[in-house]
Amino acid sequence: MLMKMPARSGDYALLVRYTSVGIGVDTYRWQVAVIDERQRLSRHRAVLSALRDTLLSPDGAMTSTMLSHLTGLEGAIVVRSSVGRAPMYSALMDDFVTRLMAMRSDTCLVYPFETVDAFHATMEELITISAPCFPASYRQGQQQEGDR
Amino acid sequence: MSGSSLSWLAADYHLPATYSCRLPLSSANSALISPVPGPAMVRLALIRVGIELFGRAVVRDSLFPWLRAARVLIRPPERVAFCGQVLRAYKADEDKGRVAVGESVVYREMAHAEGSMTVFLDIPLEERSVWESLLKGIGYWGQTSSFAVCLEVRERAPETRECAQPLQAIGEHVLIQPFFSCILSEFRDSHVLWQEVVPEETPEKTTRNPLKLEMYVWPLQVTRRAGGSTLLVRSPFA
Repeated sequence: MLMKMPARSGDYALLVRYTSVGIGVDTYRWQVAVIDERQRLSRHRAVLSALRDTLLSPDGAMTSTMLSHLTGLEGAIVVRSSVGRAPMYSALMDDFVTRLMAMRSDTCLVYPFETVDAFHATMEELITISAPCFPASYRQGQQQEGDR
Repeated sequence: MSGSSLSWLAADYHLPATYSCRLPLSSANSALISPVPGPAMVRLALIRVGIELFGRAVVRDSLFPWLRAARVLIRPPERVAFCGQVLRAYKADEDKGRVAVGESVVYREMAHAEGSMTVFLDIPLEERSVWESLLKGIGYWGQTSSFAVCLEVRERAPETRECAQPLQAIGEHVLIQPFFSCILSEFRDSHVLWQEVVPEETPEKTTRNPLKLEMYVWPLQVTRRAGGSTLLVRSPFA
């Protein structure tokens, strides 16, 4: 018996924003719901691990028959270490990594990668060393209470 | 407030992925969109970022009186393409303590832009750093997946011929037929109350709608239309 199976390969552009400051926070009112820092850290690590695994071990439609997988991975991870947004730039533009690198600063860290293992290593590092901070408004409130 | 001198701040936004700013009055199940956000969406986004950065009390007492009254102008990107997408939509319903997630199929227009959009805000410059933080803090317009990145904030007055205008404000000498137009929402007036915009803060319900609907004309001309997809190109009003 002959069976015809669809097979395809292509380049896909993906943008993901993760706002770690929103961990354990009611982001509608920007009120902190989870104050325990260990709880927040474990949630933060779970989010980063899920993001890593989503790319490195994709799941979803046709997984059982086609086992979709990567044949290459390039891009950049941008981390804002102070209050503000990490810049994003359209991955449809050929020079998007260059553009992001040009926005690098002391508080805007850019980690470019050209292979799956480089991406994996950067994500592992972030999972190990990074931690979510509290929202700026919450920290200001805490500081004012401390001053009193 | 009256003693402060006003000046224009311009914020350029890059839209790195497809985005969707639903028109008022259009159904969530069959959503039509505007090319970029309208004035009320800009004000509400600034309020949201303000609460995130500075907390409710600061926004309510210090920023909101300016935000509700500031002049807002929006210059669209050079090119905007619309296309219709059929999507799965999920809705969570809570009944007797149990949450059930329902799934349905919806239609939604999505946009993709080339070039940056610019938001012009007429505000007091003595607190420029605060306004710059707000403008730079906006991470999306409309849906949370409608990513936006503020590339730059600078002092610059708008070229009104390149910005969206209420139909009533456009002179009779301008031929509006080739330009894209749609209904947008704007704050009712410069005296809108905080409780009307952020109603859950007070127990008593407000009856007045803080928003009004108005027909806006965009300096965008339709250059191609094929099978539900549309390409708009920026072209200043004459």
